[in-house]
Amino acid sequence: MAEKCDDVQLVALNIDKMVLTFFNVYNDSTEFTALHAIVDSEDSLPALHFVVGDFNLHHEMWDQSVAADRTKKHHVRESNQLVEVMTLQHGLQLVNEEDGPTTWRSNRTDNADYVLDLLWTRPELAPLSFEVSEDKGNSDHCPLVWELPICHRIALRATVKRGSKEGTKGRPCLISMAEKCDDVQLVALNIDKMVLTFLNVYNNSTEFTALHAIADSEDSLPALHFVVGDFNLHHKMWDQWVAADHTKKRHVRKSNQLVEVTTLQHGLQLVNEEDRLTTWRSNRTDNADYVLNSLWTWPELAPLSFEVLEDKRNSDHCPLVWELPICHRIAPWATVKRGSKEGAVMINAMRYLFSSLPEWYTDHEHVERALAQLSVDLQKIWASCAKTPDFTHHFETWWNKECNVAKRKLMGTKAHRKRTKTHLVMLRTAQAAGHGSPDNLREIVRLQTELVDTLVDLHQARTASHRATSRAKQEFFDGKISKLHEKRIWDVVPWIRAQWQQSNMLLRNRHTGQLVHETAEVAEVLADQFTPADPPPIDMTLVDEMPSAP
Amino acid sequence: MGARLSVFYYACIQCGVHPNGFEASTTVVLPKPNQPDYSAPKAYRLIALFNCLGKLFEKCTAQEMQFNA
Repeated sequence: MAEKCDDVQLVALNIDKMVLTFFNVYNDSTEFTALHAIVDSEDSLPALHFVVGDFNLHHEMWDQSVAADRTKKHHVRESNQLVEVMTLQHGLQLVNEEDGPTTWRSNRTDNADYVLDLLWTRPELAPLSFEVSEDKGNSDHCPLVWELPICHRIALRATVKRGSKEGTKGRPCLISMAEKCDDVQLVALNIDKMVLTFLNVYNNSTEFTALHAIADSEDSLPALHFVVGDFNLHHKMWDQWVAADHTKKRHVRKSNQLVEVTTLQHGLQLVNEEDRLTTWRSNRTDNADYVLNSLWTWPELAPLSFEVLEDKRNSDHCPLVWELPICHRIAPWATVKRGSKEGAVMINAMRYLFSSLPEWYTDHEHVERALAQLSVDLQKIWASCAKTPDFTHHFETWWNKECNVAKRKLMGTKAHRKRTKTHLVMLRTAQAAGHGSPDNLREIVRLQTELVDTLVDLHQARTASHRATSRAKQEFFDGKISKLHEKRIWDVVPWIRAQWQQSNMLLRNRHTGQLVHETAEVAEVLADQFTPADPPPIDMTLVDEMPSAP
Repeated sequence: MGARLSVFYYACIQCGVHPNGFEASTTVVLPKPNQPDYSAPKAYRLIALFNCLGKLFEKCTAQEMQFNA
């Protein structure tokens, strides 16, 4: 608002798709230019959310001692005007309390302190907290600090983009908690469409910063699947000798807090509960061994195996190793492509195999033997001819080499144009700053011409890319349609194709309620569900009662 | 190929045997879509794929019984 008054600044802040306007004011105590500017520009101002600054005015609204102090009764008209403008015209309310702390504290000791700095806000944006900071620096004015009542963006949300390198290759994504505590790291691992979160902890044995950070950030943490680390705490849950050892009875409250946070808040269970293997083995022989490192997991993700390694290297802590109970991605099945060479070889081999079947059979054992041999030979033929399809890494199945070339050319043209633009801006800036030379000017002209040429190249590359994708799509779907058989409708129905199983998809035994991991147990659970316990007897008289054919 | 298979099938009928190889099946477990809890066995559909030679044998036998018996 420099045209009207230098002492008034309008600042817009974009937070979570919401624009908040802050009006920063310095009101001159003799001419009141800022106040007049606000009053004059009432119509041109946007909706104000926060008005804050040094108003240099006294009023009963923020200073109850005005009535008793004659020195504060100057400029009554201006202070009333300020209240009227803020409350009636802009609908704001004052945050400073009536008998709140003074905001102007003179550096000279003989002067009195006043409330001169005010904060006005919208009622719906009333601050969660408001305080007058003591740290004035070299000024007479104390800074005002307030907390906005707007939702914090969730900082610790594990997201791995689908189709990204991290997503496809199962790379771990590190989401640190450095703001709150360097000793806690949140790592997200994307396995088969499921994001597993690991919280890696080092809990300081004196200040317990990691424990406090976890307890404080309960709301902002995502669902944790594994919490593992060095907790430096003793508890009878993982160390049965705590009761007998006095040295382990310290920090009982902290270890109870750890158990409460992990079990009750995050619903985790301790893995090294039963084994009670010591995980901290001092390199000094006179020290005792402790269980300081522990692993907490979701009950559904209880490890298949857990072990404390002996190989400590140079540390006192033994590494913990556990096996996740998640299904591996199903490998694509080997198939024989229709009309392929392998298909022709397989058909010939099968023809030869069937023609070599015996011409007569002596008894039923001979029949059984022949069929068993036939099955073995057929499996051998299938194994020798079938190939595992090599799936394209591109998301679209119709994508081909031509699309790759066109896309690469388009990306190259874009990068070249960007480089040229950046170079031109640099040269123009240097020219404007007076560092130019005749060579510089010539280069600017050359780059401008090149920029126009790259625009043409970009247009051509874009068109080529579109055409390549259209051709690839047409080729792919025409091929599909020509090969499609009217009776094999399932070839084009998406829900019948192989689906990736989720990593946490474990069956639960309906009698015991426990999750099953082994294939034999899974088969047993399915058989129990789908096979009737007492099948109804078959009534064979039905056959006798059937009417004979005419 | 067909002649040798028919010999094999007639041998099965004459010997009165349904070979064990015909009864072996491969079961595929398909998850049903939009189920609330995939840890329950009933959230899956089992499809048993039988031996093709066995299915052909059963079809031939049914045909024989229906029209030629």
